[in-house]
Amino acid sequence: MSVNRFIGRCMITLIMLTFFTSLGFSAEGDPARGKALFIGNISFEEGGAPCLACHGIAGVGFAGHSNYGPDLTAVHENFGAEGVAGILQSLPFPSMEAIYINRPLTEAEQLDLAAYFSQTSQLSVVPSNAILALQVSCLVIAILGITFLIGLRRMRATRQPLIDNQRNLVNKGGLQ
Amino acid sequence: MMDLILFGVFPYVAMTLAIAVGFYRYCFDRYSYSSQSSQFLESRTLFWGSVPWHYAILLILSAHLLAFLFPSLWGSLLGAPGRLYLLEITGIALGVVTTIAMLVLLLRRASNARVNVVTTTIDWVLLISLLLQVITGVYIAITMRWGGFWYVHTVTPWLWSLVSFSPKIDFLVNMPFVVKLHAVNAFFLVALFPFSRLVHVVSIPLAYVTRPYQLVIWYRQRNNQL
Amino acid sequence: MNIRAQVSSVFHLDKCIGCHTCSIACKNLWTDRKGVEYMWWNNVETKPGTGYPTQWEDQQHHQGGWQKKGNDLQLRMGSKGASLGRIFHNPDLPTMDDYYEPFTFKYQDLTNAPAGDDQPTARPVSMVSGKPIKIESGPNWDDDLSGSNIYAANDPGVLQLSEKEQQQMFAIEKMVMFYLPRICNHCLNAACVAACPSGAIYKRGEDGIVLINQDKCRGWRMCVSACPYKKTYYGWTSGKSEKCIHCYPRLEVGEAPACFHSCVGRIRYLGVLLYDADRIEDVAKLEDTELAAAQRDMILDPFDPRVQEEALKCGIAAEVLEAAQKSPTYKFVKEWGIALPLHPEYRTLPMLFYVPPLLPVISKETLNVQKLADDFFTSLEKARLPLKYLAGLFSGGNEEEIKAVYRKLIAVRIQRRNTTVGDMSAEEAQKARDIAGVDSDMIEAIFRMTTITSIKERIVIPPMLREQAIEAGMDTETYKQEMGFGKRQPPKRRW
Repeated sequence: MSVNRFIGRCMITLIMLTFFTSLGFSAEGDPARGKALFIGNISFEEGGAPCLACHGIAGVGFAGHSNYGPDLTAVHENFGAEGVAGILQSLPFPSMEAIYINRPLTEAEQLDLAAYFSQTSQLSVVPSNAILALQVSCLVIAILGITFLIGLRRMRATRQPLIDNQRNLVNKGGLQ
Repeated sequence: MMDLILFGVFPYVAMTLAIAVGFYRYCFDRYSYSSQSSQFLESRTLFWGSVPWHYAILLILSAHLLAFLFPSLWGSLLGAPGRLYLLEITGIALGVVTTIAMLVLLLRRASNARVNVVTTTIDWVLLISLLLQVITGVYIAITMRWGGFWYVHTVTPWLWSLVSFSPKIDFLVNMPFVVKLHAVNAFFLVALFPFSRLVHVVSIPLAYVTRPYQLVIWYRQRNNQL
Repeated sequence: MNIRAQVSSVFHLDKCIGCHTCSIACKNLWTDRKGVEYMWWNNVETKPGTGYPTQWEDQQHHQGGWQKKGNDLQLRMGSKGASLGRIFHNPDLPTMDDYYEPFTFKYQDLTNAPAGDDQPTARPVSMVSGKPIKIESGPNWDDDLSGSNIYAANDPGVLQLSEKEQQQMFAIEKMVMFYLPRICNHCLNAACVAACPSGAIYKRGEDGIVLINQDKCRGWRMCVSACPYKKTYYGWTSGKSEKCIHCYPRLEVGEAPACFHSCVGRIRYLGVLLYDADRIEDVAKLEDTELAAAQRDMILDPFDPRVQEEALKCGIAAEVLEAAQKSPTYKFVKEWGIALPLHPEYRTLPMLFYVPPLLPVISKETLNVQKLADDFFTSLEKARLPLKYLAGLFSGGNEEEIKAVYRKLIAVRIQRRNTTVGDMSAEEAQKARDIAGVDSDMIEAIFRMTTITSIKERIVIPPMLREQAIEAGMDTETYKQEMGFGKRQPPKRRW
């Protein structure tokens, strides 16, 4: 049926159009700027929280192991470009609502972030909790070590050692 | 409704109590405005509690305060992954240290017969809330990284909304339970401040640095005084 | 010149019999409360001995008093900044174990115990925790233990001596001891005042009494560490420091302080001294050995018309000036020069002076009759108490100071021996006077003051002029927290 075919073609064109426009948009986003926005080097125009505050990502060192929200390294792979764009536009999660409802991401920011996400998919996430734990333990030990050093200056008990010394001498039979 | 009471009303109650009772106690019972140290009764264990506790908690509190007072400065400070990570692990380590120190202090109060004598019910309430506060703090810092970063965009606006008398509790309503607990317990501690030996936090004797060593007070007017 | 008056004291150690009546009078009056049971604002120590708290004289250990830092004077415990940094835990605070844990006995058990085969006993219990304790220390635990291996041998002053001198001090039948009663020295350059972060400790301008404002005290405990004499104490229930107040409420109504009043041996003298407050810092910076003399030097002569004129200008009342002229402490310290400050090397310029002990009489025994040794005053160096030990106590190590005092004391003794017993010749007395550099009149005056004077001459309390105090004519609100008025609550923690 020609009508059906026509409609079908139209649909395909529409989809193609959407696809190409989306491709065209993503080509406009700047991944470097997206990264800067993600880590908070550049603040969002409306003042929303930088993504790294809660979301982990590969490629920014140890700091990329945020774990409040889900890791976004593979977000592009999992949701596709459209999915990502949709999410960035509305950020429809209850815990994020309060933060972004009055401070949405601008369109340019959305594009930059999307561009950044499309790059991070290739990176692999390294599990870091062990390293984090190790480093924190080292710091704790260091702080306690400093405390110990401060403690060296403390005055010791005075009377008891005098008595103990004498007892030791008597026990050894040295003195009566 | 509960959320409104906890995050919209209770902070005001706590602050009002802290200021009103704090002033009352300062004006009418200044004698009791101290920490009532028990170092004289037990010194060795106290050292391992008091020193790490105070220094670590001061640093942690000043980070909380800085992020509240200067959010944009704090935001740009954390805007580099290296700095963010360094600050966060330092914060976590300090938090762990405060937890250890508070456990030491609690055990000391419980186990030392002499110190036990000078411990009142409100002391236990205070110490246990402090322990709860540092444990929830460390838990948040570890399991909800990076707290130092999202604090600026959730807690800071909430606190400022409280300051401007238009509480926006949305910021906290959707937070996990432990964060809510941390926030409510923080204001509980504020409320506890004027009733406990926590009053000593406002008696930091900084004027000592500038005053002369010797103090002489005359009870009589001297002839040569103008 | 900035002349100030100071209520000062002299303790004549030759007369102290170590009866502790002073301590008890003080305790009953001021420290008979919960939380301060362990405090002895007045205590009597046996020397040689470790004292109370244990080895308080060892400033390497206790970090009390001042030290010279280049050209400056600094508290030994550290600078002001360092002190604030240690506010969360004072590293130099002795604990209760270094004083003693106060105890009582369960006397009720004696009457309440059920009938049985055994005699009921009253077990000792701690006055802190209420639990049974093994008493291992107490007030004056080392009383009269001058031969003790624990206490006398660990006297920081004895540890300074050579091995030979130490052996000599503890030799059988030559063992020697004396008593050292101690109260707050009400120092001119008080370390406790300087160390108080809250600024709660102050010196009263009119009489120089050092007091702690209990409402301003925040219990940082720095005064306890800073005082080299360990005469400020921490009240463990109140969370405040307390110290000897020189019984100022008694002084203000013309009564002698309780310890002075009750002294059986009448060893205590009290009177006003005038001094130049501008010189405090310079004097405190001198060498250890110069301190005792310099301190004597800064005391002004109340008979000098120029001093009188200046004193009046500086606001010292004429009545106080009159009291200063009658002051027995002025005679002992300045006129006769036989009273020395305790440990002047702590540089706090203490205003309590001691006449060092001459006892036991340097004597030889022939046929059970005590006779004075032949080389009675030439052999000071052979004295049982090494001069070095006494110099360490009273003159910052300057033996000449001690010798000068002893020569005078010996001259008094010989002259009086000549007058009353007659077994020593007038020539001998003259010789002793020449060596000491004193005349007969002074010797008679010293003799009189140390023996037969009444309390009115021994204790000359200046009029405190409370009727002129600021609160009589000023708005008390303005001076609240400064002078001790406006107290509306009993000093008890309710929070």
